[in-house]
Amino acid sequence: MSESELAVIKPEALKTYIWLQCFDGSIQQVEEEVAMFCPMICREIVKNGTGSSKNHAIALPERVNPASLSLILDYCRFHQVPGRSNKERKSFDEKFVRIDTERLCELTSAADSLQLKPLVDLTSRALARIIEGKTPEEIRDIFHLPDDLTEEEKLEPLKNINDDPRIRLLNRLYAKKRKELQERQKLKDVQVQDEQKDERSLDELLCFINGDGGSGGGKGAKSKKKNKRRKDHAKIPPKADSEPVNKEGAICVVPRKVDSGNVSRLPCQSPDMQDDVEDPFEDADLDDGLDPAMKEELDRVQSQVSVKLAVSKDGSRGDLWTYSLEQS
Amino acid sequence: MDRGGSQKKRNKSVANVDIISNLPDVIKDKILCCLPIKEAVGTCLLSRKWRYTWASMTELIFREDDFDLSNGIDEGESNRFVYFIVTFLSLHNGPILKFELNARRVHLLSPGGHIHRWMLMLSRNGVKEIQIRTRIWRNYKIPSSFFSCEELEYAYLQGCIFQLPPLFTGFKRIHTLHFIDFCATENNIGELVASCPNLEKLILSRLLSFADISIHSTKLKILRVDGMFKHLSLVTPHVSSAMVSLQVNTGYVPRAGCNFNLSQFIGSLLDIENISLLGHAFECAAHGILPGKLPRLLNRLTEITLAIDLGNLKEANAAHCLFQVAPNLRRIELELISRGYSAPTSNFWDSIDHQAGLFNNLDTAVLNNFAGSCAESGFLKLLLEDAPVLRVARIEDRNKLDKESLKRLLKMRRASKDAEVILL
Repeated sequence: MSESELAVIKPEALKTYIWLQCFDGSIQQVEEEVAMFCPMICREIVKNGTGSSKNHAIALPERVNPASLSLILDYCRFHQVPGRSNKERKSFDEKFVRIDTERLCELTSAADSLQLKPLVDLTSRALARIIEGKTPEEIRDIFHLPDDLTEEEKLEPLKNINDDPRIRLLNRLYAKKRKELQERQKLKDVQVQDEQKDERSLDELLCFINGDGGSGGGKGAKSKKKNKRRKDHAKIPPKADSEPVNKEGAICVVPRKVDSGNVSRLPCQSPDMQDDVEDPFEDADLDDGLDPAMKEELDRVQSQVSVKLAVSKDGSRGDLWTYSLEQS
Repeated sequence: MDRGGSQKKRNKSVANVDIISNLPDVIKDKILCCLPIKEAVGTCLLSRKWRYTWASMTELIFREDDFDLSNGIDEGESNRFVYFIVTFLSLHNGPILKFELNARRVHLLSPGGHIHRWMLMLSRNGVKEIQIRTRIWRNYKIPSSFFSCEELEYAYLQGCIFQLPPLFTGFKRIHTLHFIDFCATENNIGELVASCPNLEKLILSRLLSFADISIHSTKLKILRVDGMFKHLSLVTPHVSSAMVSLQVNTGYVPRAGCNFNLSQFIGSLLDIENISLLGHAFECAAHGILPGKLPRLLNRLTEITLAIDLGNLKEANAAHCLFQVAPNLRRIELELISRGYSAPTSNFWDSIDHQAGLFNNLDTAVLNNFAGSCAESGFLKLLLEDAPVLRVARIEDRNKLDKESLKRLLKMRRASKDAEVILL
C-alpha cells in the first residue's frame, strides 16, 4: 500500500493510547498526542517508558483529581492541534476558565503539578480577575478564607500602604475602639489609685502638652490617643498656681479648632503631624464623622469620674478640652 | 454534578475549606502579580495566611495611573505615589524579579532622588527585568547601581543617559536592551553592548547622538536603531532582523555630516532575514556600496524595506547591488522619495538587463508614494518583467498619477501570469 493510503485509513485501533492513573486509583486512557502535550506526562513516557498499558499506567501526582484531569485533557486536546489560529485559542481559553471558583483552584493546582505552564498562567490570571476589585469580605466569602486576623493586626503599620479609604475608616474605627477600651481600663485604675494621681505635677502635664511627653509619629490614631491622655491628665487637680492655669487655659483654647477638621490639634504637635503622610484632608473628613460618637463615649466615661475631678464641657460641640479647674 | 447557586448555599452550611491558600507559593505569587499593586497589597487583610504573601511578590508594577493622580503635577498627589512605593519597597521581603515603573508625570528622577535608592535596592535583590517609563523632562542619569544588577536580563529605559562605571564587568545575562529617547555620548552604547555577551535584542528608539557609535556583537539577533545619529557602524554578523532609520533635522544634525557604514554592515551579515533602511539611512550610506563589493550572497534574506530615491544614481546602484545578493528575496517594500538634489538618471533602470533573474523569488512588491517619474516607472517595468512568480504589486500613488500614466502602468508587460497590480 502506498503511504498516502496508509495515512488515510489509519483506523482508531492504530492510535496509541496512554494510560493514566489518578491518586484515587481510577485509570483513564487518552490519545498519545493529547497526553504528550503535558510536559510531565511526556517525560514519564520518554524516560520511564510507563503508560503504554493498563498495568503500567502513569501515576499522576496527588493534586490531580479526576475532574481536573478531564479538564486538563480537554485543554490539551484543543491546543495540541497545530492549525488553530490565535483567535480561536484565545476564545477557547476564555470559555475554558468560566467554571466555578473551587474547580478553578483545583485545576490550577493540578496544572501546576503537571507542569503545564500555559494552563497555570491562564488559570492564575482568571483567579486574579476574580479577586480584582472586590472587598476583603467578598474575597473571603468566595474562597472560604477564615477571618482570623485580630483587630490589632489589622491596625499595624501595614495600613499606611493601603490607600483604600474604606479600609482606613475601618482602621480608624478599630483604633478608636481600642483606645476607648484602654481608656476605661485606665479609669478603673484611676478610681483605685486616686492618691497616686494627685502627685503628678503640673509640669508633667505641661511637658506633655508641649509635645515632649507625646510619642512621635503623627498618625491620626495616635494623635487621638494624645488627646485622650490629656483628658486623663486633666483629672489631676492642678496646683493653685495661677500662671500655669492660664497657660493651660490658653492652650486649651487652641483645640477649639479641632472640630473644624483641622488636624493639627495643638500647635506644638504640628511638627509631628507632618509625619502623618496620610492624606490630611481625608483625615479631617473621617474625624468629623467620628466626633459625635467619640463624644458620647467620653460623656459616659466622664460621668463615671467624680470627686476631685471637675472636667466640664460646655454644650457646644467639640469643646471637650476646655475645663474649669475646681479645687475640691 | 450540580453546580451553581445551590452550591454556595450548601457551602455555607458545610465546613468551609479554604480553597486558595494552600496553592503553591509560586501560584499565589503569580496571582498577586496579575493584580494591580494596590489590590495585591490589600490581600494582607484577608486572613492570616495572606498577611505577608504580598511581601514576597516577585513582579512589581507601579503604575501612576492606578493612583488617581489628577492632571498636573500636584506635589501632594505625586507624593502619595512615591510614598506608596517607598513604603512598599521597605516592607517587601524577598527577591524582586521584575520592576516596572510607569510614571509619566512624576519627578522621581532627579539626581539623588528616589530612583537611586530604589535602584540600589533592586541591585541587591537579583532583579531580572527593569522597566522605567517616564516622560522626558530632561534626560536623567541612570544610577550607577543599575550596573550592579548582575542578574539583569531585560532593561527598558526611557529618557536616560548613562556613563559606564569604570569597573563595569558587564551584564552577563542580559538578552534585551531597549532604550527610548536615549542620548548617546562617546560610544557608551557600543561599550555597553560589547560587555553584554548574550545580548540578543537591541532597540534604540529616538536616539540622539553626536558621537561615533560602533556596535559590535556576535549574538545579536534583532537590531533596531532609529533616531538622529552622526556616525554609525554596525558589525553584527548573526543578526536576523535589522532596522536602521536615520532621521535628519537640518537644524540639529546636518545631513551632510551623517555617516552610516552600510557596506561594512551588509558585508558582515550572515544570517539576515529582513532588513529595513528607512529615513535617510540609505541615502547617507549608499555611497559605500559598489557593485561586486559585497562578499557573499545573503541567502536567507527574504524581505527588504527601503526609503529610497530611485532617481539618484548612488542609491539606485546600491539598491541594485543589494537585490543582486538576495536571491531568495520574497518581499520588497519601497518608500519612494524624491530628494531632488542630484542629477536625474532616468536611464539606470532601463539599462539593466531585464532578463537577469533579479527577482526570481519575489512574491510581493509594495511601492509607496509612487510618482510616476522616469526612474520609478523604469524600476516598475524592471520589476514586472523580471519577477516570474510575482503575486501582488501594490502601488500607492497618493493621487499623483494622471490617467495616462496609470494606463501606461497597467499596460506594462508582466512576466508572471498571476501578478496582480493593485493601485491605491
